[in-house]
Amino acid sequence: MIQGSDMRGQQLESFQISYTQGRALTAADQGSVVVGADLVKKLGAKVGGQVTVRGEKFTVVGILDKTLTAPDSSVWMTLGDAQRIFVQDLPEMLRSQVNPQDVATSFVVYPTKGTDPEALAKAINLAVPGVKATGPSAFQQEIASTTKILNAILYGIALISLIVGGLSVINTMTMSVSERTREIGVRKAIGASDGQIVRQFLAEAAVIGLIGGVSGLFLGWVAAIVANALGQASSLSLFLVTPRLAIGSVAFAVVLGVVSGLYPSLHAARLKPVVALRYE
Amino acid sequence: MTALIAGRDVHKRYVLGKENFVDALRGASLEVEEGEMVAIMGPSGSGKSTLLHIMGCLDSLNSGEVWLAGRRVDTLGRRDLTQLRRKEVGFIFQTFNLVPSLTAIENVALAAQYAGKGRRAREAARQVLDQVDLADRENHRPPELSGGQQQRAAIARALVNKPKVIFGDEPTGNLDSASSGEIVRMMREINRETGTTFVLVTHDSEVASACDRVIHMLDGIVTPQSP
Repeated sequence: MIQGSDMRGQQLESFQISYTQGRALTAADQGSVVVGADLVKKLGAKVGGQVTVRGEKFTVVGILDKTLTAPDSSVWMTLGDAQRIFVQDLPEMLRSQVNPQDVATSFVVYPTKGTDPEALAKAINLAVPGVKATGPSAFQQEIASTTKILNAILYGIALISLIVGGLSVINTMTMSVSERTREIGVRKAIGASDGQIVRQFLAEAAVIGLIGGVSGLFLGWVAAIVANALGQASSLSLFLVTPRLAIGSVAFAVVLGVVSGLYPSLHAARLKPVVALRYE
Repeated sequence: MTALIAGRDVHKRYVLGKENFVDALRGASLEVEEGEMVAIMGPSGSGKSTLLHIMGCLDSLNSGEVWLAGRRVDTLGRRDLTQLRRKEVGFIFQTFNLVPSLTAIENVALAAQYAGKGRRAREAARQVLDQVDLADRENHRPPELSGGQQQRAAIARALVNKPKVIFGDEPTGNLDSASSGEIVRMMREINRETGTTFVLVTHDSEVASACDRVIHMLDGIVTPQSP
C-alpha cells in the first residue's frame, strides 16, 4: 500500500513508529520514501538506495521497525508524490479533469485535549457537506465486526470438534466395555464393587482425554506457528498459545473424556457378574 | 457340623423372550458342610453351573433360599453381595479367566486389592503363588503360561483372601490329563491343609473321585442318589 501524508499530524499521532534504519519522512522529502519492514526484501530497499514504486524511482530515507500491523506492508511518501502517482494511474479521460492537489482519500482530525471525539465527528458531519466523519467508536465497531466473523468461525470449529471428540470417546469407551465385558465379569466375581469398576473405566476415559488433549495441543501449537508464519507477509499474527490456554485446553479434554466415559462406565458397573462372564 | 452352604427349593428361570423361557432350576436343594470337598455332576443343561453361580453370589434366583456362611444371600443387596464375594468366596473357572494384560502376581493381587489389602496385596499374592508352586512365574502374563499354570494362578487368586469356600466351574475342563491330575491334587491338599471348602461342578470322574462326595443333578433338581 502506498501512503502519502503531509506530515502535519506526525507529532499528534499516539501510535509512534520507530525506525530500524534511517529517519522519518518530512514534508520536504519529495522523491523519497520510508519502507515498511515486510517490503524491504521485496523492494530491495536500503537507506540511501533507490526503490521503484509504480514505475518511478524513489530514494529510501528510512526503514520502519516491524509493527505486526498495516505499516509493515506500506510505503510512505510525501502527499505531493502520492497525489501525483494516484492521478497518473487514472484513465486518461479522467486524468485531465483532476487536479492532483485536490486529491485526498481521508483527513485525520486530532481533537484537542478534553474534546469528545464522537461529538467532534458529529459536528464535522453537520458543518461540512459531502464529508463523512467517524469517531473512534465506528473504528472499534469495524474491527469488532471483522473479528466477530473470525470468532464465529473458530467457535464453530471448536464446537464441532467438541461434539466429534466427545462422541469418539463415548464410542471408544463403549467398544472397550463391550470388548472387555468378560473381564468386567471376572473382576466382579473376584470382589470388585460397582464403584471400583466405574472408577477404572473413568480413569481410562480420562487418560484417553489426556492423550487426545496433549496431542491436540501439540498439533494446534504447530498449526498456530505455521498460520502465524504464513500471515506474517500480510502483517497478521492471529494465534497466540498462552500457558493458560494450554493448561485449560488439556484440562478440558480430560474433563470431556471423563464426562463422555460416564455412561459406558456406569453401564459396565451395572452388569450382573454372571451375565458378563457368559459374554463371548 | 453346620452347613456352610445351603440351598432350599431354588428355582431359576431364564426368560429369553415373550413366552420363551428356560427353567434351569426347578426346586434344587442341597447342603455343603464346612471343610467338605464336593463335586456336582450331571448332564449338560441339568442346572449345575446355574446353582453354583447362585450359591457363589454371581446370579440371582426366582424363588427359594440360599444361605452362605450363616447369611441368607438371596435377600442381600449388591453391596453386601460384593462383600461376600470378596471375603467368603473364591472362584475357579474352566477358561481360567485371568486378566490377560496383567502378570500372574498382578492378577492375584487384584483380588487382594479389591478386598482392601492395599500395599499388602502384592505380598499376600506372592505367598499364595508360592503355595501353588508358581512363584518363579509370577511376572509372566497369562498367554506366557501353560493351561495348568494359568489354573494354578487362578487357584492362587481364589485363595488370596482366605475364603471359606472356593467354587469351581469345570476347573479341569480345559486341561490335559497330567495338568488335570496336578490341579485336583493341589485342590485336595489345600482343602486338607487349610479346611477351605470346595464345591466343584465337573464332568471329570477324576475330580469327582477326589471329592468327599458327589451331588448329582438332573433337569434342575438334585437327584436322590446324592447322599
